[in-house]
Amino acid sequence: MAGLKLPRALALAGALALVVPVAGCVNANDVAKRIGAPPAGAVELRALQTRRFDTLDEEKLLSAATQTLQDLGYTIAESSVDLGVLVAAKQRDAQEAGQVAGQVALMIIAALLGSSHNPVWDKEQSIHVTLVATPIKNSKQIEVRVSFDRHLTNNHGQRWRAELLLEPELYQQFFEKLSAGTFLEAQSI
Amino acid sequence: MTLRTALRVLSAVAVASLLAACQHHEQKLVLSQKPAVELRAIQSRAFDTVDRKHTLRTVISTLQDLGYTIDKVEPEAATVTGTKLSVLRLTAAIYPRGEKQLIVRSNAQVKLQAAAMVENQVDDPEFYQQFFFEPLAKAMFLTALQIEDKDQPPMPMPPSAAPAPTPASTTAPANPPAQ
Repeated sequence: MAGLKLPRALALAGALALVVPVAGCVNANDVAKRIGAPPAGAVELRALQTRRFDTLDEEKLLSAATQTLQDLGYTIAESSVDLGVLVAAKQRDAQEAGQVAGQVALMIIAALLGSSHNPVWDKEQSIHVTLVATPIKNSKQIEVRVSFDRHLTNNHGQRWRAELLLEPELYQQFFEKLSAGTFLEAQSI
Repeated sequence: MTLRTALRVLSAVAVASLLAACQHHEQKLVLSQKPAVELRAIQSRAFDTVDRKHTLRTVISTLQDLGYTIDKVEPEAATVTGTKLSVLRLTAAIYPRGEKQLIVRSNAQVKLQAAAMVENQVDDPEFYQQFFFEPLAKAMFLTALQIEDKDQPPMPMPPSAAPAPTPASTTAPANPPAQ
């Protein structure tokens, strides 16, 4: 029973490891159309990422957002008050013992089979934040939309995976801190 | 059962060794083979507005809506670059066309895998239309107008020179753009 389980798990791990390299053989236009499609559940996503603030002072709001992000450990990568844009990033360790062990086991099995497997695991992640402030026409409010995504770098120093972060707590926490910083209430849309 | 599993593992290894052939090691950009005029028509649309800043803001929020992370914005030059999931990068530039319109030109590149060193230019009209200009037009509340092939591209200006009237803006016939 145990003899069956291991190769099965390995076949699964092998298949998973292949998913990323397979993309290397397809056409650029197809990849663009697959990746470029709007994210699923765009309406819910917008609600999750957006709050409105009762102010007309965009500069003050952006400066409060900058401080909030700095409090959360981010470094600012790009900002333009003119356009209401703020981009920030932070690095974090992403290594997980289970993933490393699985990859090393795969390497050993591959060696036993006379082949080689280059173990790959998540080493570091960088979290990127894009914040865009937009004054709402004919109202005294500014809409703030923030999106978080993370990029995983593997143990060979290559960027190999990226995903949008969707945890509501993350967005909730950010907007709570931003509200506290601006003394304004963040209103859901 | 054991034979099947062994075969599965073996085939996975065989596929893996085949795929190694697809890996590239030099950083390079593979440009589209389409003629420049055709590519420009695919990548550009005109809008009936002269508000460059508002158009740039709308481009930025459209990119964010589509799931891009903003990498770089340049308000003076009216350009923005965003990346989606480390794979797809899109740059948009906004420039005037005549007295009453703006042109938004976008250019997208794809890394076929996140860790790849090669970027390929995207030249599929459907991508630009469906996944950039259509959502942009909706956000602008304006129609994205196809531009005529005979239109001149904007002339590059020497950085220090005073903005002299360019041939594009003075001699271009005031064609009503094709709807």
